[in-house]
Amino acid sequence: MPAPRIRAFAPLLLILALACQPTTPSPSPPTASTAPSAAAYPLTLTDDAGRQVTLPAEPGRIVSLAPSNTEIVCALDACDRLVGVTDFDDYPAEVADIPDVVIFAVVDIELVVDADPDLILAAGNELTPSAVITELTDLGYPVLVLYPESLDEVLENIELIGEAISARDQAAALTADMEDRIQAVTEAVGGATRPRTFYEVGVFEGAIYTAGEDSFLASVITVAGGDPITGDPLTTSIALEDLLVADPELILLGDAAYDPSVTPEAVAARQGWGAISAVQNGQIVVMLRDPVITRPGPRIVDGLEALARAIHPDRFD
Amino acid sequence: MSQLRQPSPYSSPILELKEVGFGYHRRGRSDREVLRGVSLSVTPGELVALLGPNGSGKTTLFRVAVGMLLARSGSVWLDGRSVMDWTRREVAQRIAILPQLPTVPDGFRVEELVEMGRAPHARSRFGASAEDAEAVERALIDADAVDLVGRRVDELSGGERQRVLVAMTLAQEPRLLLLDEPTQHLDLAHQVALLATLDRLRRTRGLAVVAVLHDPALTALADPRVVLLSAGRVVADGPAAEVLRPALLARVFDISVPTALALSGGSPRGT
Amino acid sequence: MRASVATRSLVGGPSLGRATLAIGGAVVVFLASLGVAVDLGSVEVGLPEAIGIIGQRLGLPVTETWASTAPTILFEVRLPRVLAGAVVGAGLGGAGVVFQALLRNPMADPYVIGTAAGASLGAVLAITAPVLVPALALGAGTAWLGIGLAQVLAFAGGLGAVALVLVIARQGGRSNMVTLLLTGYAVSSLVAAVVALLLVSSGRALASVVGWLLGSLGGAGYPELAVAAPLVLGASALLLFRWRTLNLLLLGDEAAAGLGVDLVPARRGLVLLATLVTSAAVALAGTIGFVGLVVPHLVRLAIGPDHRLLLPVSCLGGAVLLVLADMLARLVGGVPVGVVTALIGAPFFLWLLHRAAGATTTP
Repeated sequence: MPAPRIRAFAPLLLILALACQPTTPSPSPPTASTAPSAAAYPLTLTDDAGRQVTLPAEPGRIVSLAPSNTEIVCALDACDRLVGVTDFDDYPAEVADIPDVVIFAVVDIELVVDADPDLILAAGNELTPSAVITELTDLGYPVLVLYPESLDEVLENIELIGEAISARDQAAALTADMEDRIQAVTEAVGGATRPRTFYEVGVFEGAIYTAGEDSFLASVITVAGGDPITGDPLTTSIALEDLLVADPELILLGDAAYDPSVTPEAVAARQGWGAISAVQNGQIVVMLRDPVITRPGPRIVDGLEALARAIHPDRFD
Repeated sequence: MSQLRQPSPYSSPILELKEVGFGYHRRGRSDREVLRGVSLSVTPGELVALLGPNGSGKTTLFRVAVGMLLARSGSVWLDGRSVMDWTRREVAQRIAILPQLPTVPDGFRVEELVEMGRAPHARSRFGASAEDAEAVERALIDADAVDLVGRRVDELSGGERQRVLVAMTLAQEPRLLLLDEPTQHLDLAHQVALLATLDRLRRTRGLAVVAVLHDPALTALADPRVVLLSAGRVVADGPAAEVLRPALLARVFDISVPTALALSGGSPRGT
Repeated sequence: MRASVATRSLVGGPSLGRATLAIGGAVVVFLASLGVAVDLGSVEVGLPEAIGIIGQRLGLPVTETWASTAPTILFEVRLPRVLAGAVVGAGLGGAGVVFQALLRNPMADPYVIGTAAGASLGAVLAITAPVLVPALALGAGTAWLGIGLAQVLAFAGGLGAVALVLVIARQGGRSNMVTLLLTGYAVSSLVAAVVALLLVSSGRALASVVGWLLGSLGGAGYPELAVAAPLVLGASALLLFRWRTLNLLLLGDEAAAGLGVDLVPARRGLVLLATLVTSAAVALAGTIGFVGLVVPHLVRLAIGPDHRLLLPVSCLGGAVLLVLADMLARLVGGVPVGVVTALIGAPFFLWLLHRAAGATTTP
């Protein structure tokens, strides 16, 4: 429990003062012609939920409500500005010392307030519940909702955060490097036939979870040279019957990274799965790199490369 | 105990039923007639015993009398006005009714239950007045239930409970008391005591009592006016000595004359 | 006159001393639970600091010894939630007492005649099908009040379901309480099936819907409280004035009528008020179980069945239970408060059943 401490509460007062002002049109968003890294504050950004978020000054205390957001902030050399993260965060190592404000996937509002942030980075699509986003916004915090639905949007998110925290140079360098690596993968798998690929996120109580239709994961598989077999866009689940009809040529076991009982042998022995081409041809691969494949952060290029190697091992020797 | 047996000519009836008919409506079948042309008048100070076999309409008569059931024909007059013109509370200030099978809720103490009898007279929102306290105390004494004070009603025996329920109706301080089998569950001593109390209350306070009784011998003991009901009709109405004749009882209750003779106390009374 | 000494002090309802003890004790426990719940949370705000912060709010010259965020945590995050717990708990405790007396059924709770099912349908519709909102022209109104659409539709759904139950139950002629109970059960089941259908097709809103169904005080802010609290407290106060009728109803219809209760309007008034209380409570916090069932029984065991005391003490008891249960939920971290009350409530319910079974075998 943090002891009560005296803090400079000027930033909070400033936020409140601004929140109380009649809503005047904010100054036009900074353009590239301004000084390269020093964005002009107050700064108004549009997040992935289409919300206008105004930052009164350069954020010095950032709370991240999703591991991908944490990784982006740290990749932009701003790890020391993080004052609250989730208990799921495991990368980079130094985030272990930052207090958790999300515990068992539940955002503890009190802990967020106690962290006294001037920027909160939330996740979209109910990963951060919309009620929590509303409550934090009502409390006067600038909340940026990030929800990339494709590989390109991950890069856009990195640039958005870079702009928000006045780290555009770092963001530009990072995305340039990532684009190079994406380009390399695209070239490596170019022209190859795309195997029908089923990425297993998990199997719970008979329900099979995979990449949702038009989802971020599906887009990564496509770039990696696969033809993703997708599930329901909302629940990301797929019925076994539909899976049999889709007949994957390749099965990638993302859940094997967490559950040692998920093995190619165990999958082949599942009732009804014997009819799948991938099972008959022994094309079942354990994906121990699942954490970076499913996390839309800077390391997604690692995940992309791992996927491409699994889908087209012949193109990477 | 017979000074006031005959109604005083100066007191107007507290309850008056004129040619009352009542039947339960039955879908698709002819209605079941329960009361047919019942006329009955009760004046203050009267003790009326209502006798009749099961299904003769005694309980229905009570319900019609207090306006819980609406008479299909004829009229019911309470204290000079049609019973339908009084509010429930106004009726309850005048008539107390002890149902045959009352529900006794768990957890209440004897004095709390008796105090519920004061509900129609309640003036304050939350408290009980000194008047209420006195009425409850008098009722407990009259019903011989003082020794039960402090006990939980659901832990009492059937007879004890009956005394408490009688006390509750007495606490209501009505001008007319309708008792549906008040002697049920009571042992002989308490049956006699109850009848004596009712007789005393009618003499001293002018209380009118109509009680459904089953035992002709016991009825004869209290020497009331007896109304004999059979198949929804009043077949006899008069002093106990006149009504409780073995021949009549035998016919109404469908028993043999010697049995009726034995039940009504061994020998005809009133000579 | 041997009786006069024995009875005089016992007549006139609960003696002043007993009433003071029961209500006073409940108020003290209630205030203490409020204090503890406001003081405890994931972030520790010491008691002296809390008092200081309140003093500052009142304009007293207090030196600031606390973190700048402490006042926000206390007043903006924790207090509305604790107050919502108190209001909802009080409403459910009181409504539970009323429904148990009204239906003369110890297993009745505030949700028994359809309130919960109807409110769930309203809330789930608001969460899963916001497309319908403009059609209902409610969006503008709720935005103006600053309260969530889910809350408004839940309130409307609760009232609507009960209205439906009452109308159907009356079709059989004289509406008796057993018919009402069974109709409530049937309508609840039907509505619950529709809710389940919506649930299956709710997709990404599933977590929000399930959270609402399990009950949570997290979404209650001051605007919601400002609407719900006067409703709950006002209707509860009106119910309190009807303690005598509630007592008499326990004697059975015939005896109650004989003692001056006009059954039909009396019942209608009680059902209306209790439904108003329940719907407002459910709208504020979702369907929190067991408070409305367990608290009346606990209080009855402690102070007896007289509604003059049972009703106010059950309101306070419900408030205490829910405030403390929500505090536990907050401390454990994100457990829906409905789960905590069920974890406390279900074993108690079983004990109650066991006790009732024991009482019938040993007369």
